[in-house]
Amino acid sequence: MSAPAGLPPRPAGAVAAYPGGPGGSREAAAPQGAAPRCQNGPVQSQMQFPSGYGSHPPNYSAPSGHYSQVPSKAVSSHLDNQYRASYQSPYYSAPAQNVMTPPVGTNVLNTRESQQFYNSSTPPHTVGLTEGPAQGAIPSGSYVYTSAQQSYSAFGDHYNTSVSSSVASQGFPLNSDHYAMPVVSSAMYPNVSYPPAATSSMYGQAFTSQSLPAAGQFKETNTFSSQSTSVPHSLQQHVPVGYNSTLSTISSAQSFQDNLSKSLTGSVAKVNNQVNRGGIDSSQPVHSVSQNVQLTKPGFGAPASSALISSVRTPAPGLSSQPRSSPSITQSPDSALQEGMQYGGYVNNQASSAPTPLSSSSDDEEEDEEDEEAALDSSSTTSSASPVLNNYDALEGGGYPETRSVTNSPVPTPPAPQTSKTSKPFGYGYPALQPAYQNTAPPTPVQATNPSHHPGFQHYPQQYPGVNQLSSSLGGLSLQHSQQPEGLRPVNLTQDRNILPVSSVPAPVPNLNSDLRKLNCSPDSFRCTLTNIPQTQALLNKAKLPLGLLLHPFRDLTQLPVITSSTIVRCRSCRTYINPFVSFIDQRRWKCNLCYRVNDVPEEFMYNPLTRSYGEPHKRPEVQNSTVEFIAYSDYMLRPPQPAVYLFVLDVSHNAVDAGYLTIVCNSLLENLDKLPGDSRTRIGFITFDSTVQFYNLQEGLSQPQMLIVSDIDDIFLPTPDGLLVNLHESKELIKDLLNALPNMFTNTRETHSALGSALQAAFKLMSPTGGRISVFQTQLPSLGAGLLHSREDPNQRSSTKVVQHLGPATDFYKKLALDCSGQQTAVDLFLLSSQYSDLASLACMSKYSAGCIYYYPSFHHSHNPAQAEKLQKDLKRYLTRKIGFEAVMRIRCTKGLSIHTFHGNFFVRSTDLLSLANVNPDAGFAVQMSIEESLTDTSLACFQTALLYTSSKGERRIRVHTLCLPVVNSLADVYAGADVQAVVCLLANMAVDRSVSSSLPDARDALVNAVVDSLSAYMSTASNLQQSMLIAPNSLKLFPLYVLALLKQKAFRTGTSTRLDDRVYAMCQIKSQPLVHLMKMIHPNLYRIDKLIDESTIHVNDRVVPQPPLQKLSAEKLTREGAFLMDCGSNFYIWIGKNCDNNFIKDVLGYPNYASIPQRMTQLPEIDALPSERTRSFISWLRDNRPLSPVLQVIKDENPAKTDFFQHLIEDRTEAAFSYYEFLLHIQQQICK
Amino acid sequence: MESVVFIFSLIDCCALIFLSVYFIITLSDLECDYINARSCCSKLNKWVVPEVIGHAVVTVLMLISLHWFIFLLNLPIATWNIYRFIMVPSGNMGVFDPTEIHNRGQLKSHMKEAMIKLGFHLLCFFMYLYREHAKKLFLILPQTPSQSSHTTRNSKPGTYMFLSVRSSKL
Repeated sequence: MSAPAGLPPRPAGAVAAYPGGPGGSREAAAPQGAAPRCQNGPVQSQMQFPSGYGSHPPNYSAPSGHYSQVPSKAVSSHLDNQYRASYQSPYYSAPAQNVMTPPVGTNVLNTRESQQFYNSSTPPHTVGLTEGPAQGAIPSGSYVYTSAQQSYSAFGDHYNTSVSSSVASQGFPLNSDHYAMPVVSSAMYPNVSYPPAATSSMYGQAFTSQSLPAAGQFKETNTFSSQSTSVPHSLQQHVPVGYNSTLSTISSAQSFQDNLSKSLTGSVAKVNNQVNRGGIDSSQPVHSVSQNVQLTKPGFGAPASSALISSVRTPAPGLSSQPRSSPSITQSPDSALQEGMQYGGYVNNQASSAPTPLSSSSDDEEEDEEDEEAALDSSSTTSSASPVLNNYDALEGGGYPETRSVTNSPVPTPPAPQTSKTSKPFGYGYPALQPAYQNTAPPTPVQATNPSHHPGFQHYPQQYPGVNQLSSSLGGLSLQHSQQPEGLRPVNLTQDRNILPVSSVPAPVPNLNSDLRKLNCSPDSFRCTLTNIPQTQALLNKAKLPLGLLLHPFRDLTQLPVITSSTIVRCRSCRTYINPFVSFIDQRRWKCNLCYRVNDVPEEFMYNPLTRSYGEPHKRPEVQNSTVEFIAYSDYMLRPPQPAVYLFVLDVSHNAVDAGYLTIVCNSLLENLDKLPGDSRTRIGFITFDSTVQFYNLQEGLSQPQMLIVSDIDDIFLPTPDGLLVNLHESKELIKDLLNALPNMFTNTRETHSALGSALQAAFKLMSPTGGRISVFQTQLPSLGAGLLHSREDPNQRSSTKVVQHLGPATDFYKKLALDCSGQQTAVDLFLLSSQYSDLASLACMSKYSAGCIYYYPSFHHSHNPAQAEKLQKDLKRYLTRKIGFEAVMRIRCTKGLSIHTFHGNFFVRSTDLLSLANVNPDAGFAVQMSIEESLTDTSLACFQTALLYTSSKGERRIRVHTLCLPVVNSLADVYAGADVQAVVCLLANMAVDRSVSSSLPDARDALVNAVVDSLSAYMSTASNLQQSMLIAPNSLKLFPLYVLALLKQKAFRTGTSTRLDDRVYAMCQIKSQPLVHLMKMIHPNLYRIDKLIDESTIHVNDRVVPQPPLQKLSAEKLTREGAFLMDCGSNFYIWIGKNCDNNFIKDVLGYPNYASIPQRMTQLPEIDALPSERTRSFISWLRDNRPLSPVLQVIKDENPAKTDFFQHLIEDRTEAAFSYYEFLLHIQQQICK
Repeated sequence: MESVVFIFSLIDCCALIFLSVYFIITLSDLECDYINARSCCSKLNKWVVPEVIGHAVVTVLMLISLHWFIFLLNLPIATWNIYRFIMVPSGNMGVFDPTEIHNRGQLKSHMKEAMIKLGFHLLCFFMYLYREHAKKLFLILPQTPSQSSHTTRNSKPGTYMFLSVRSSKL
């Protein structure tokens, strides 16, 4: 039955060199900062320090303190370089003066001096230091200058950190001395110069570049450390004394106190206060001060910290703007720095650690904070080829997506509160303690930028202006409503019409203390619908909001710490991976943060290979980063890693040939053949099918590809045991021949049937020994053999407002096949390119349960529908070259008491919490719903950990671990304050898809509306002072009704508008499998006005000027005839040109003389050498850079048929079948009043 | 004839009890992660039809033998079984679908259902068993006056016995 048929011979192409490393190579091992790490879980840590500890280990200071690190010195000593002298001496002298001089004024002066020093010294530094990436960062003199100044501040930061770190480092064995330290230092702070406001971009950078251990400059720091040691020490000793008021024998201590008292009246008192308060809580007064404030019970701790923050925020701009550092302080940080540098990888941590104090203490303007963050970010990019930051703006904006998680060094809890307190004298009196929430407000804007990390660091800039505006407004708000967290500020929805933020919607930041917050997982990878976890299920039920997680675990990261280690430390009972939120009880034991079991720290973990130090388990990268990747050893393999195997199953029936997709697919494959992720073992194969199934023997040695036709589709078999899946590199010529021949081989086919089922069975047989990826291209309803389907769509029902049927699969064939494939580690990706109904609901099952992905191109035709053809081309490019993980499993663990009950996404749930993913790709998102089974009263933090175990395309077994930590709250108001409206909406969308398949579409729609009604009415009933006649939402949920309305008008859920069944089902598939960022664009597109871009505020990215037009409401009222608008729907860009649009714009941007001459189909903007064109293109390409799929652009004129596509996205408008936004609000209000 | 009906019911009931226990064990295996969802569901789906038939037969038998009370007792569960079997969506692989069993607490609800059925079958088992003996008892014992009014309409000793039990409890 199998007949070999010759293919037309093809000229042999040049043999392409084996591609170095496509997908997987991105993550270079990112070393981690050495910043001292302290116990993470504040609460737990508290509990762990029995009073007995105080007396215990003074010896700790030696090892954990940063000052005297013998090994490090030794290492660095030979690295001595010229900087050392110049750098060091000014620096040092400065500190000495500072310490002694009581008056603040002098201090300032001093600092300035030192600053100057710094400036002068820094430039050479940077030059010398910055190798590679950093080099580019200093293009212009002015830039350098600013950065230098900033660097100064960075130092200050370090300072803070160091202080804290010293405390922290001793983490476990806190003796009172150490603890006292922080207090002292904080006290000093005011003296010295507190506000570290300016961003420390430069420093961070310089260090970053030095991250390699060999880099020259470490020396100087070393020397520092040795000298500096004495100072800190003395501090340590004295402090406890002073505070305890037992002995004030030491003169230095005395003087210190004097200083304090003089310069800061009241500061001491405050400190004392703190101490006292601490004393109440725990037997060790000093200790308790720092600890208490921060973490412990929300009730108590929160207010204190908030007070701190608020006080910090107030400082006069003048102060903050001058970066000052106190010498004594700086030293310790320095030493810390030096450590970091020596340890190479760890540097970034250091840098990052610096910011922590800043953020908590010194943000009188959000700008500053942002800068700091940016600085952090930049500094953190140690290992990866970091994008070069060209200018200040870029710097500000530049956050590498992962940086936050990576960089964040755990700043010990105690310092933060302290610093803030001390700074109070400076701050113009925020009246003492403010409600706990106060502090949430200020950070929000800052962090907001973070959440939206996009792969490109350029993303930052975008939000920047917005954030500023926001922050200023927020600042005002926080003053007015000092009693309320920002998230709870009531918003009258019916009156407040401008609820859209200026730029994209930020993710709320968990109300954690600053160091935990810095450590936390990036909201892009891991997001929870409620950033304040309710304590009990009853409370959750009262809030009427869904509790769940949205995951994007395999996201493309520019920086990711990769850990190779012989032991992967995990909890012995719950198998949680060690993470930044565990607590170290002492050096030998750690307590799991999910199940609270106390585990031993294995011997290997005591040694830190990056820092080459021993006895600092808390400094290991695993404990410093909430997103890490382990290289797994053989325990984590069921079988040796398999090669990457790609099989393409192509429809070649008449319909397919007519659509002409083969040319595009083959060309894309030819182009990207060398970029397919894999190693030298990569294998590839092809199957085509119509009413028969054709195999291609590509065995090396054949002169041309051999086609083997199997016509027995009822009992499919493989015509030859080998040669069907061949090594990509050995048979490259044959593969190229085949790809060149394929598009023309079936041009005259008359076969209209499609035996998809049989082809899939054959593919499964072919793949089952190794697993891999099957890519199926299908253009019609399968009509033959197994898995044949019948048309179920009734076109007359398309716009029915009643029940929509056939949303579920018609047969279980594809599901069974998918499960079989999943069992053999094979994923099936479906490309459906059809012009008619093809029952996607059934076909999609093959991808849904095998962890594949689904692409759908309605009415695809290569020439009649160029937009779709272009989209296919772009999608394919991304699809073929993106990273891929094979044989993956994902497990989601959460703190005891929480449990996961429903999963959304493409995978197979193999056991209660184990998701089996045959393939995992960077564009796959997941969602889970959770319930609270036991109340969380005995904990103040809830943690979630996702571990994704996969085989990389290079044949490495890897584990990517994300850990998220969130506070637990016990009041309904707090739950609302922490609601993440985007996450809530995405989770609701997932739930609604399930509901509409299992129940019915109207049911799902009702459920969506009810979700809004219930949550808002629950909120309104909690806030007693609200007038019932108005529709009030908490600020955190003000976009909720809008998003839900958008969902109701989404293709997946809309009724009354003609929607093809396949379109609807595809939208549902996307909702289930897209990560949050993409899904939000799909639900609520962004609309910008682009005809006046020149007037807009701009940011600079990579030497480009990118305008930042504000977001517009999705309403036709915004579309003026004189304007041009860009709508960003995620996978599509629409440019709508108004009838009376300025001819200059049309000429300069579109390249046509007037409106009438614009063609109907326009998918590209011409490159015209005019400012408007430049701006527009840079804006669009900037939008494109932030996402993996480059969207297709369509220019739409007023009379264009594609207009409906555009207008259907204007969800605030009334349509014949659906409410306008205002009507929807009234409807909700009515429902609430019922 | 009467005894044959009950003996058959008894045996059938035994089988159903075993089936319920088997369901519970398999589901709890799945809960504890001893087997994977795929094999669990294929095991269980095999026994869904026998269970439906087994229960339906008893129910019908009771109807035929005019044991109204037992029939009505069995009816809801039998209906539920059949309904559940019929209402399986076309794309699912049976009542137990491996792709859904871990979602939306389905595993728990299946477990609960199996437990309830076990309880019910045990109840039925003892009822049938008791009926067997009760019938003999009834034959031995003459009817008491209070029960006579009930018995007049139901000549079947079985029914009578049941009623007598109830009235004595009251």
